[in-house]
Amino acid sequence: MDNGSSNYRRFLSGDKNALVDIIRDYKDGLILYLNHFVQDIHIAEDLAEDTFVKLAVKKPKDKQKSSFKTWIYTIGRNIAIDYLRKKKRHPEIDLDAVAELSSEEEDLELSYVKKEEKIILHRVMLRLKAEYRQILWLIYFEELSCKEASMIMKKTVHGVENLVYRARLKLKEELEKEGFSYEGL
Amino acid sequence: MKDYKEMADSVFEKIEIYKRKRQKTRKTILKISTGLSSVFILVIAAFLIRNYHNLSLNNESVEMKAVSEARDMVTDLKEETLEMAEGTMQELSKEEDKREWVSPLEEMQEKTEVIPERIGEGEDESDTLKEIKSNEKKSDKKSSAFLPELADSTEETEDEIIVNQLEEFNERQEDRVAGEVILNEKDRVSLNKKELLSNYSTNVFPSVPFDLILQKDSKFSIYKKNNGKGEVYSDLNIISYSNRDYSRTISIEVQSKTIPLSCFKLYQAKNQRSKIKGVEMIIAKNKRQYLIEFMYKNTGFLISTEGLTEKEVIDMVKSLIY
Repeated sequence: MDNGSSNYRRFLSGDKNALVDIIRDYKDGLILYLNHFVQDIHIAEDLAEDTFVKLAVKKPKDKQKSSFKTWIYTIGRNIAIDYLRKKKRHPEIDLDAVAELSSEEEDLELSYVKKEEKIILHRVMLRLKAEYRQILWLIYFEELSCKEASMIMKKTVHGVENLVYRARLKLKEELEKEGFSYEGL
Repeated sequence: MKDYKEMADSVFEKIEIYKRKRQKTRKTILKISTGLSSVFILVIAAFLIRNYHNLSLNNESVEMKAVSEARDMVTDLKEETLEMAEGTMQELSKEEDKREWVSPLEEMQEKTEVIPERIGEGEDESDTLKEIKSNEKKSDKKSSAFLPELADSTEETEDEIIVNQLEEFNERQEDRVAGEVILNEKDRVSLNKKELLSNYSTNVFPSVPFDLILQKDSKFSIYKKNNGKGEVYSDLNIISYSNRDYSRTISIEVQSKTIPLSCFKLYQAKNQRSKIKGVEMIIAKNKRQYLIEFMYKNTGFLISTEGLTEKEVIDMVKSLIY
């Protein structure tokens, strides 16, 4: 799927359509990933737009150390963190007050996640704290390796593995509370 | 939620806004940097001009500085000397009030005590004065025989100053005073300032304007017969003062018993005579120079000055007569 690097090179050569292709390929996953930071799908959408704008105007060099997806998610994450710093709030999810998903978010979820069981998993993930949600999203939904996730989250691979372990335990606990079980956990 | 095309349009719109902002920012930065550059260039230019000006001033001011330092020195000396002179005058006037009569010799003794450097920094003053006294006594007997019209006198009479105008000094060889003295170098006896003073029966170092100084290389001597052991046969000496650039000079030729031989025959010319403190003399001048000849206390003076005013010349002559 990762035509990102070649599209980006096309864009750097002056092909504006290449940026449209990049947006098409990475928009949904990036919005859902950034939503784990800001807990607002519209803000996450704006941040995703800002990620593509930054990609276009700053034209950072893709050093090919990782996949294009890892690289663009890293840029997105930095933008989200800047946003949260400006707003001076780090959303820590309240386990007792899980927000209802908006219809737009449900649509995006359906279009991107697709599998029913993963959709249930994703909704339960919203009860976890932000860090667990982010790592579980990257590992189980974006299917990135621990190494790639560690690059995005700026952690060590060992740190990511520990984080994934603890996030899985917590997610399993939450699923059991709802009467679900998931084989992948 | 936007689809990817809508998001792409939105992204391109944001890119355009960003580019416009960046262009505006660049223009602002350009304006600011241009302004700053202009200011910087002006500052540098001002700095360079100032430095250049200072350099040129420094070059010009090397001599000016020396001149101003000399002026400062002269001013300081003048102030100090004036203070000393005032103090001395006050002391003298007090003592004069106490005494009814003071002989000229005693008066000179007081003056020499007040100005010790004139007779050798206060050393052996009594000896010096004794010698002057003995010379004076001798001269009293002989002076009238030598130039009867120039008898010594310090009577309190009004000064009569007549300056004879000469187009140029008489330099004709035939007008020179006849007679030459052959000086034998073996007879030469070098004298310092103190010894020179003791040789004459009067003070031969006048008070001069403050910018004039006694020439450092001044050497004094007399000639005595028998390889410097016998009788003095010539004691002609020249005492020279000048300022730094030699634009103002005083040359005093002094000799016992007679006016120095090197002078011109002003006395024999039909020049009118002046009288200062009762001492008869001839004063002549041309455009820049003054020439004065007189006898005082059996000592002949020929003074030539250059660059001095008449008042300065008269004051200087007066300082030799007490």
